[in-house]
Amino acid sequence: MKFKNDLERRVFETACLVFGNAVSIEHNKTIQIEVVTSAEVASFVGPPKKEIDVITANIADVKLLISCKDFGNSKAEPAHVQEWVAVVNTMNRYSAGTRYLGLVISPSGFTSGCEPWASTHNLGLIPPLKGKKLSFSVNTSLQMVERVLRAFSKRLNFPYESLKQPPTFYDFVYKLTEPFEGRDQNAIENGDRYKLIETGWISSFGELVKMLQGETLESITATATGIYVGFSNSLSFHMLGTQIIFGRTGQALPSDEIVDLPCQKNFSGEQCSMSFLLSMVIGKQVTSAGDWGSRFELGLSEDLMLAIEPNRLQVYRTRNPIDDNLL
Amino acid sequence: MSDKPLLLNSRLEPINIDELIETCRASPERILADDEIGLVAYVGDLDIFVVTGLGHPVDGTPSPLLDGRWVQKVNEVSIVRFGKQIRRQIGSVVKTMDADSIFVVTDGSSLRKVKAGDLKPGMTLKTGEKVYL
Repeated sequence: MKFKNDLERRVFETACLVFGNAVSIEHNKTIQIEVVTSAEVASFVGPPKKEIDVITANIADVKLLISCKDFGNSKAEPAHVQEWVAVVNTMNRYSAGTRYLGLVISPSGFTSGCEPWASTHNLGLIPPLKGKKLSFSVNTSLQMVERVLRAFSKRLNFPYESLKQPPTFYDFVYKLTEPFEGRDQNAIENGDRYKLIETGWISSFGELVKMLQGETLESITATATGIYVGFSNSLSFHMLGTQIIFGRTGQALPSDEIVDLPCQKNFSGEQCSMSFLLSMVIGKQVTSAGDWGSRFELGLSEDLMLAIEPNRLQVYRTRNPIDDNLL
Repeated sequence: MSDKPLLLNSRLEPINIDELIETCRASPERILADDEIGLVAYVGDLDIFVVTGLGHPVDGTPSPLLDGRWVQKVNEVSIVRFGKQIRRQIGSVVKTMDADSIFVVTDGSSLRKVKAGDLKPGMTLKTGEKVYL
């Protein structure tokens, strides 16, 4: 099988992952039209026909026509969307029952004039057009393609007549792809500092707080690989160097040796034993949290603060005056 | 944290989206996507509505419902795991909020709605609090 470019190959492979043998690809397929005076067929040249490269996913009575635009650093322009509008409309006009929906993929993005054409004619755009300068990597665009195709295949298990009405399919694709901006921004700001135990997905400080707030601290174990904190409802918090892994289904502790971590009490950092620190924090509920880079703090009930660093633990009470509330 | 839309049931009473998602999870086929990006669930047959704005979604006609807002039936609801969040100091408090949270600010003798991402230092909210940064 030949592909026009690497993008087309990767999109085709992604579509095959989701739809299997229902996916086909055609190069230089000729689309014939009868009326050439409409604005949307301005890109049809010469005789009223157009040669297109198309990936087709055939699902139920719907065919998804996918156009891959690999323009390097240049964005796709309205003419490119108009072209696909004309193709999809033409296919629908001469259809004997099958409904065609269109998807245009241009990893370098779209110029702002593309949105009205796409929404009016119900074409999905990947990556999404958000009215501001955004750039997504090719890999992110392909993740968007896979998310859209998987969701679309499941969506067809329910009544889908409304998807055929503009701009429902455009909105469907937009809502599935728009949140990638937040994911990528979080990755830029935090790298992979936060990860979920169960899935390995990149997570965030906000998600950690949401999960741990109100839970009861049940255990702290320090080993050569990191610090493992257990909470009620099988929740865990692991500090492994600079990385924080958390979530449900408490991961079994590593088999490496349990180490005696230096422990401190009070804000001034007086030495104390691990057993003293545990006696202060076990059974307390999480009320707040703070991430200071190399130091993570958990606010606990009774105005206690537990600070976790890769090589140190500290507990102190946050009530004022400090001297009257020493541990 | 997540961006959560304001959802209503068929009696136009607010509903908790987390509870709705748990209901959807009981029927796995409803979950259209559940990944690193977030969760999308099909609710087209559950009579769920979303508040859309001050005018009719199509013709802009004012609505008598919900303090003049229109509601629109939704087919899918989504929870975003990485909503774009920003920090602003409003009055004496620094808050973390979703960039598309709506604030009402005074603009001369009139009021104007702006998204949190568009709040500028010097603006004054309808409540009298000043935006600092």
